[in-house]
Amino acid sequence: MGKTVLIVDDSESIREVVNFTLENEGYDVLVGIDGEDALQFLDGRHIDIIITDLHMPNLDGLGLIRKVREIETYKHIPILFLTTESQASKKMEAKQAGATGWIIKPFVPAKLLSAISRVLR
Amino acid sequence: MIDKFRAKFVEESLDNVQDLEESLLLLENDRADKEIIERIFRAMHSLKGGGAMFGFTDLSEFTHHLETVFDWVRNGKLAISDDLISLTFEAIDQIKHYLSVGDLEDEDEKKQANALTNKVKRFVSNPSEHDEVELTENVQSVEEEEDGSKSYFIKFVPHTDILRNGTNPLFLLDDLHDLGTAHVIYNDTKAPLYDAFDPVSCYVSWIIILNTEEAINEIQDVFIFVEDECDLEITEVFEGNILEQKDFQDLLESCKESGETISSEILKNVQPATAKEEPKEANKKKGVQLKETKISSIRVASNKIDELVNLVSELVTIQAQLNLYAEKDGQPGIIALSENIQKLTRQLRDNAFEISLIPLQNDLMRFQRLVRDLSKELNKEIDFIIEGGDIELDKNIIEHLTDPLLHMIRNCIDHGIEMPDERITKGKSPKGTIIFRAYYEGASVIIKVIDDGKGIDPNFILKKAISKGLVTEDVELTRKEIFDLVFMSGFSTRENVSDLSGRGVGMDVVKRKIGAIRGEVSIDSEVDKGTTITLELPLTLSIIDGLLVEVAKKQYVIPISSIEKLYPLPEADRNKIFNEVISLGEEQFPVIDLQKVFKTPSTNEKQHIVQVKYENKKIGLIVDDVIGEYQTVVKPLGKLLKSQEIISGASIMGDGSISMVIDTNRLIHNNWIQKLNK
Amino acid sequence: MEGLPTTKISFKLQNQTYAIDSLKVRNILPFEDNITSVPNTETYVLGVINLHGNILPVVDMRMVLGIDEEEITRDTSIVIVSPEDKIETQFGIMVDLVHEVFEIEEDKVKPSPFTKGMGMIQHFEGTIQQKDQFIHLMDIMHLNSQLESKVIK
Repeated sequence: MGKTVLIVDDSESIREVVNFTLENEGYDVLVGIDGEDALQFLDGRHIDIIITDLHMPNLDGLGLIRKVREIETYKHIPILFLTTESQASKKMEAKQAGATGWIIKPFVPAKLLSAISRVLR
Repeated sequence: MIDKFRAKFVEESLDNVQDLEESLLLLENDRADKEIIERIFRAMHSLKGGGAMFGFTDLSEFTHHLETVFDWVRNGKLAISDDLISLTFEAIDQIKHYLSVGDLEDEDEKKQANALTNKVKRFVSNPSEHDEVELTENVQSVEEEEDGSKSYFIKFVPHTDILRNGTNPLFLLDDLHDLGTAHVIYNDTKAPLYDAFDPVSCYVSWIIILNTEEAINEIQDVFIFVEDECDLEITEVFEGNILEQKDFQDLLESCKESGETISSEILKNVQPATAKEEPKEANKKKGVQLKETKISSIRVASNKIDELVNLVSELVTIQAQLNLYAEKDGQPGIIALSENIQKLTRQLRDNAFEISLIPLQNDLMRFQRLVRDLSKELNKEIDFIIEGGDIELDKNIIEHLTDPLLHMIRNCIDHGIEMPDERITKGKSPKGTIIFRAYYEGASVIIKVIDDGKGIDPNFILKKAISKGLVTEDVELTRKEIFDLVFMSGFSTRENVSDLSGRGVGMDVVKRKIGAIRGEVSIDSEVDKGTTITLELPLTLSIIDGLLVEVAKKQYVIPISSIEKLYPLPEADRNKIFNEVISLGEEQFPVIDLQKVFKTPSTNEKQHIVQVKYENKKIGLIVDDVIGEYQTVVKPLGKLLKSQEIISGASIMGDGSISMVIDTNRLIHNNWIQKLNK
Repeated sequence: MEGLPTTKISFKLQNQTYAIDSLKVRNILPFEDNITSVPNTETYVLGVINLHGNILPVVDMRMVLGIDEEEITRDTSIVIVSPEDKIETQFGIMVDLVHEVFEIEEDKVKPSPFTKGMGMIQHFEGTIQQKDQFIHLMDIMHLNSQLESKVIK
């Protein structure tokens, strides 16, 4: 059975690349265009992992993580950041907010997949 | 695979760039608007990330510097200055260039880009406490300041089961390579003999000596996922690049020979290193959260819309056939069905055409930019007011509208609006105004470009036209006719750009371009009050109200918009045509015999005159028969026949047959030119 | 690319056989008397047809090549070609008979005997011999550019 990945990014092209990469690997993919939009998927359904951008309108990646961690069902779900941001301070902040990992853009598909399988056991 | 998404990225980025320009113009008026600053930052960020992702390396690097600048701005470290705004506008043009050509190859272009990049960098090179950063030539750039690289010893011993959850340790090594230069030593001594070898176990460990400018936690972050699945040691061992030290190279050699493992302790002996650096204080400033309207639209490739419109027009055609059939058949059931389908088809058609309309808004940014840049350049002060930016037009019309409008607005700024002191002596506000006003009028869209500049004196136009030999001295023209002279080709040439308020410059080109999309242009002006140029445009190019006429047994469509009047032409009146001019009662106007134009065998069935407008004249087209009014879909004749001028397209009739749509302007123009040449 | 077979479609005009790249052919229609003439075009432009709601020009290949007219027969066909991959570039050529689809190997192509071209076609891609007949290879792009520059009177 395919694992379900929720990807959140405000850039359409990035969303498509990630979507394409993951669907090709047999993942079921849910797509949110920003943090706010992504919250609609957190309705109790089963999600294996969330991959989110950092800078987004409405609700940014950090805000999203904090919200996700408040929901009982998703308290322990792995959340990866997919971002160009490599500032250490941001990473710290992300870790504190409850992020599981960090993938730096640009990424090659293999790296993305590896990062995901690393946290999905 | 990435190539597939490149085009998408460019498309998306062009939207981003437009958003940037819009935001920047807003920012110019309200420099403290956090939301806008955040929007700019995000746009830069997306360009940087996507650029790197989709192979626009130069773009990514360039926007990286801009992103840093706006990161400073949003964190209050840098204030918005005129220089910064101007530079960002310049940068936006550069971004557009990157998006169209990708990475730069031309050396001159590279040089220019570098110069611009340096200008950008200067804004963040000097973290001054002042609100405005002074631009000085000798401020160092960011990268020149950061030259303190360090060397680290990293020992990475994965647990044997690390491969089982999909981790590829080599990616981690790649990540390290991204941070700087690395020397990697692998250790496979733990690997068992072949028989005991488990292919999904990891027996290898690595020692990496890394030289990087990044902080130690950058390195720690690389291993963020595998912390629990490996033994990891990261130690700073050297201030500077240890890899270049001779001592180090010697040490490597000797260890190789003796089989001794390199440790952080040994490396520290190479040269005493300084104590570990405390991680920089976390930047606690949270990103400002923005209220932004939800995406309520989706992006569709324009050729898909063209296809939809095509399919719908085909449906309309077939539906008309069905109607004919149903009426003939006479079965009430079928008639009712056909009527229902007709209703639905109409709605579908209206819908499809509405989809192919896009708002003028998208173009307005360029006009705002033009007003801003050009008025600065000319030291004029101009308010640019936009009314009706949400008016929608067929995308094919908008495509053809941009150039003429840019031209018109440029004329306003360049020649219409006076210099501030000149305006003051005239008793006007020193700030000039250009109004761009768009609104619907029936099935047309009206666009007016109104300035309050120096205006044009009609007497001057008349004199000019006479001296150019365009009209004779004894001619009597109405005010409108005089202004229309401006649109005649040959009215204005380059050398008199500056004298006649410049209005004549290229206005014939504007007229021609607007004519090509079945629009009309007129001008009115009052000396020292200003000038108004009015465009009247059809809503769509693909559907027209036409009059179906017959010439030599063939059907043609004449656009209703160009028709003035219909006259019957009884046999008795035919001898009133003399020298291709007809006298009907009070009226006298030239006529063109379509049988002659189409070179069909002459018949004696010429029974009607369709009088059409041409510039400020009325001209009669002699046709055999007038069949009636039709709303039709105009289709192109195909690329092969593109240079066919007098037919603007063709329309498929209810029975599947084809009627040519006549471009009356071209037809009259061509026939007159021919006549003049004779 | 050399030596690789390419697929061609051959057609006849009078007693000569010609062939064009099959990848450029979109459709083959039997000739019907439903062509609408377009004013002010050269005589070899027969007019336009309505193909699935698109308007496509049709040219008479015999006149393009300067061959005498043959009678319209049941075999007379219109080959719809597409020089570029866009519908607006498509047009039809009227030929006496569409012969066959066949493969040729590039290295079997010999120089064309029509060194000075024929009618509006200034050069042929080459000629191949098949059994006892010669097939003259025509480049649709060349035909297209020739027509485009001369189509309007």
